Amino acid sequence: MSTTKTKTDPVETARQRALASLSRQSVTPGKVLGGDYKQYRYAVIDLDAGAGKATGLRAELELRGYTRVEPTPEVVGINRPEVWSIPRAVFDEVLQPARQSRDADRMRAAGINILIRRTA
Amino acid sequence: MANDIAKVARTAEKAFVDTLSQSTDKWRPAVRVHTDDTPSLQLGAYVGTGLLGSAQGAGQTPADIDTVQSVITSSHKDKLYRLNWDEIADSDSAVANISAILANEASATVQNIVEAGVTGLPSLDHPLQGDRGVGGGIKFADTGINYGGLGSGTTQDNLLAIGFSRAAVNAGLKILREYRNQAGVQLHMGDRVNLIVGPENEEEAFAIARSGMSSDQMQASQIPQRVAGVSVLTSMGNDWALVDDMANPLVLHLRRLPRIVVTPTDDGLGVNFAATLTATFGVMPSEAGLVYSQVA
Repeated sequence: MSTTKTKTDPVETARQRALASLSRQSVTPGKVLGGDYKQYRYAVIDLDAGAGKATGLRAELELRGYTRVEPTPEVVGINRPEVWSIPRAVFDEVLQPARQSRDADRMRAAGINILIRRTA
Repeated sequence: MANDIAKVARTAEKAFVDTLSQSTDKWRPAVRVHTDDTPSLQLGAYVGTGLLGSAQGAGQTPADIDTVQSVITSSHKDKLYRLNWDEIADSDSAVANISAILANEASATVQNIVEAGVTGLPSLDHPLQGDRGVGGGIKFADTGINYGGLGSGTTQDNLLAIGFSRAAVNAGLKILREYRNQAGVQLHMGDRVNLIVGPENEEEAFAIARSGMSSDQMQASQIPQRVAGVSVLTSMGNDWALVDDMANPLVLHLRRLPRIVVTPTDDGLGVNFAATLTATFGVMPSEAGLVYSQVA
């Protein structure tokens, strides 16, 4: 029997995954199971928080260009989630830079100035 | 009657302090306040391995202890109003009113500094960006923050995208419990935390913080024992955050408390009323102790 292993060896793949899972913490709450995080940014509404709250969040997410993910995937730590997504490129290249610009303006106006000194 | 600057000053100071003492302090649980009278506050952090092993007997230097430092430069704020003696003589309340206005504006200025700092956390460059294993481009609240030690090569997140709810708060508490410093040492934080929310979530935050029952199964909730305070910042919107009460990495350097200074004008025709304060927002070198949720 050959002992040569290839990159697609399922046992080796499983071994690497198991080792990786041992060296990390538990899965971050809020993670969308099966989510394609390279392609999308996800936002989660907890429906147990109340109908009024969900409505407000939906309106905000729609306004920013998110679309609802259906059927709703499972989300770590949230029993009754509603999941919305936006293409990662739109979030990274449009929404987040706009927010960062706004935040920087606010901090500058408030006189916030943080320097870092590294001693070792 | 001669123009009595001392009497005006007494009236102004009383009105200023009375008003300031009644102003909102909803920002207070969000930050750790330092009152050191120094132009720049230096906050050190140790990011060593932290655990006890066999005694090595190695000497330590201050540079070892404060491995990295945030240097927060304080910012002076002031505002000036003027009243002529004629106006003071003609009004029973002008001095008190202008002093109360200045007190309210000073209070709002402190709130504004804290709000600008806290809401900017997902945009603020991490002090250790590109250093000690923290990846390039990492923000103070972010996903994929590297740490070393046993879990070297893996990452942790202190940035969520979950709308505020009881389960979301529990998610944040869990993250604080498991959080590691940059050397990979688990810090076991989150025994006592402060919630930071916007007006959208104010009612629910207080309900969660005060209710001894979880809302779904009516089981006993430990959250009231763990939430030390709720901070309401108007500009948070649907964002919310958790900070460890003891190891809060968010700092307000309140170098000089708000005060009012009353002086005659140079032309002798009136009185200047100046409110001053010296304050700025800053962060510790490490993000440990913060969980932030940016929903949209």
